[in-house]
Amino acid sequence: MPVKKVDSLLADYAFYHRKRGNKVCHFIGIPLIMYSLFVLLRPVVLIEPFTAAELLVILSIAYYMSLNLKLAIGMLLTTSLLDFAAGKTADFRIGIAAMTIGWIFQGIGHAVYEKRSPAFLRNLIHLLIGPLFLLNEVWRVRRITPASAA
Amino acid sequence: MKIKVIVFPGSNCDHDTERAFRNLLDQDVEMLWHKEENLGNADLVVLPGGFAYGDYLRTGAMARYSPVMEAVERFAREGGMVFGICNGFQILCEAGLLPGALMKNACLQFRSMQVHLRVETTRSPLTKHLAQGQILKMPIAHGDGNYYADHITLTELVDEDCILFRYATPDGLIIPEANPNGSIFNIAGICNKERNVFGMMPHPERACESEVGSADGLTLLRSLMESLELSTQPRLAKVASL
Repeated sequence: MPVKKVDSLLADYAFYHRKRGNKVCHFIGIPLIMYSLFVLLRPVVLIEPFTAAELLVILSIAYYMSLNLKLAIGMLLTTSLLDFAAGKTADFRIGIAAMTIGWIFQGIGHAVYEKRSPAFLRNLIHLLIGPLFLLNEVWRVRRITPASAA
Repeated sequence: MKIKVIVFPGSNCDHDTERAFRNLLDQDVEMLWHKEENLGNADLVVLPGGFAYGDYLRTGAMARYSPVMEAVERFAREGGMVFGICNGFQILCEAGLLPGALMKNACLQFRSMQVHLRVETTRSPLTKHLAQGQILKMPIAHGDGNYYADHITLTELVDEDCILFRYATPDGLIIPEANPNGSIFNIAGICNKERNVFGMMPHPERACESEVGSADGLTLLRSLMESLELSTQPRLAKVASL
């Protein structure tokens, strides 16, 4: 059976995120980074009332839809929630703080637990795969093992 | 460094390998016919690409019983470095010196093309002087390069950090489109747990000059030579002190 691209990408991401401590750090770090991105992009108004934050949601969901519809719906709900929360607390200082703390958690996860450099250093697409990987860890839409990426 | 290149009946990359090590890396290379039973003094043994014994029965299945293979196995068990390229990789898997097996390409066609490899670990003599995540371009030419390992073996390979290279896109994505033969987990090259035996399907010896499309193979072989020199220095110092 042909391998699905989503399985390959998730398995590759999983390859660099195997340690429990690293996963926990990512469960804290990635939502913080996503939230901070929405906070920081909110002041950039494109067409009233839409901002660059909504554009980011649309573009990322379009990419996720090309991979897996069910996960894309999950991501739409997640990102919309984070975007809504960012709208309620739109303060760039909070955004910068969340961004900094988020990346610190990511760094700790890779340096202390995983002891391997982050996957996005190999390809920036991994920045988009990170949230999808976490959602799949919770929702288990795709069963991911190295063998599933054959 | 003393490098022995094993020549089986049907090897066809032996002279490319010899040329890469002797002419481009200035090493002491000796070709060793498969009927030899002794490796002599060797720092590295290379099993080159080709179609040993015409690939009869199964790729590498007959070559692994060549008289020289007993010496190669002994050399590897004693910690000597053994490097299998393409057919050499298949022979090492058949001999049990590397885990897994190489099956017929998933597309059932012979594949001769340039591929991109992503370096997955620098914890091996072959990749020690490369960068993790580095992309290398080199050719493949095989009909049986579909690497397979069962779930337990694959998990061990991942856990022990024994996956050296995976087929990737030029910008480093591991996706099915980058996989030329259906190898599990896009695996293109591995090493054993002791990290002294390594095998890969792509041909670094055929990618040693930019005129042939890529010189990334030379980068890889140079990394191996540098690691070998470092690992033999203490031994040389010990000999010199005697």
